[in-house]
Amino acid sequence: MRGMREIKRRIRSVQSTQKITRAMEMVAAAKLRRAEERASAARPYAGSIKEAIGRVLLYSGNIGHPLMEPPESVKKCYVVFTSDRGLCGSYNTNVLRLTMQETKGLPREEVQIVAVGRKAREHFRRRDYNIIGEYLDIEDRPAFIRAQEMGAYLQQLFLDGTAGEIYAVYNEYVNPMIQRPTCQPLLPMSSGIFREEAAARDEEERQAKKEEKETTEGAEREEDYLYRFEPEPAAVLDAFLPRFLYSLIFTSLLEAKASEFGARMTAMRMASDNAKDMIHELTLKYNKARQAAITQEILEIVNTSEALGRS
Amino acid sequence: MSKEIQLRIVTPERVVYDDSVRMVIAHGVEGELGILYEHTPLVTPLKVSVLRVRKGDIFYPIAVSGGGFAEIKPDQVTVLTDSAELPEEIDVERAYEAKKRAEDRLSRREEDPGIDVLRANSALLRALARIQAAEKWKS
Repeated sequence: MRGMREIKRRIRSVQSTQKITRAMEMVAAAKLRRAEERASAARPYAGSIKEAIGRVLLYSGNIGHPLMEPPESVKKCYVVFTSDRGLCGSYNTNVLRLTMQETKGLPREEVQIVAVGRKAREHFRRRDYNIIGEYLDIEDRPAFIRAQEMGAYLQQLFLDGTAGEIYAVYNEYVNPMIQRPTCQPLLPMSSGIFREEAAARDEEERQAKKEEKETTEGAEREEDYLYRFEPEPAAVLDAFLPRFLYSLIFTSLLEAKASEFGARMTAMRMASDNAKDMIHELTLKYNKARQAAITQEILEIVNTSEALGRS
Repeated sequence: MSKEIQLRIVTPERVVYDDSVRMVIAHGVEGELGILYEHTPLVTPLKVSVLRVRKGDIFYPIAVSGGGFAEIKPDQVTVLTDSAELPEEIDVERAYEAKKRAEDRLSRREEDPGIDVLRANSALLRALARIQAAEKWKS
């Protein structure tokens, strides 16, 4: 008898919580699917532009670019991608922890933060870090222009010496359950990665051609073609490098978003499951209490009737 | 024997076009380029313009509506651009409106120094490329 009403009330309260978490799970799942699509649609561009830059560097000898110069300043800048809202498991914690690890050995005045998302801003503001930029309320489906704005700003920071090294810290999307916190160097760009990409692609092609040649005999052809650049290579590089930076940032944005929805979906699914377990347990308890109450009543009736019958 | 080349048009947001074609006609900053199989390797910036693709016997116009580059290899053309649209995706009415807006702004630039001429100009070019591509496709 005792507690039956309370148990009933708790069941109802857990049920309504479950309804909410279920709904949030479903919303996150729908958004995740779209974010995933966008992230994979954006991948070819990043790859192609990397390859193109590599080719410019590979075929035009040693040309430099301000964005590839070693830094003038020892100061670092971390662009930290978090969400604006919580309820997404360890999504934000992981990114923030990685940032703290990366910056641990550095003197405080050399660390600058660009916060993307409210959670990052709150975290670093509380710890009194130097926040030099913030981007809040990023759309669920960020447009490339966003990345361009951010990229132009970061490029400026690098060129005027405010920051010598710029990193992006975000969750890389692996699957809905797994998001891998990553620290990706943005600036300065190392020419090595471009050269490698282009060399690898050229090698692949050469291999493919070789195979082709074996089947269609005799078609001898110049293998190493020389590239022409219109206008000169430096100008081409000047147009490509900023775009590569934007595409890196765009990728970070999209990956972070996909991860956020994945993390939220998983967290909400776990919450729904936990609610289910709780409801199950509470229902058992409730039934037991009910059973006890009924037994109690029967006992009372029997006792009373016996007492009455005997007299 | 005419062999086909692989054309890929890639924007930051998606791959707009990926198919093998007979010829690509592009507007480079240094002039118009007709690209066939075995073209010399070349990297060149493109104008905001209409790219024409010959597939079989039809010419397919694609609006390159942002700054971009073409990377040409003997058997492959990769166009990297900030934005591009297939003709059937283009909202012609919107493009006309954008064109009018841009023209308005450009015509008022004498009396209003606050107008960003560069921006208006590029908006106009974008709108024109879109309109051209869409109309070419219709006819």
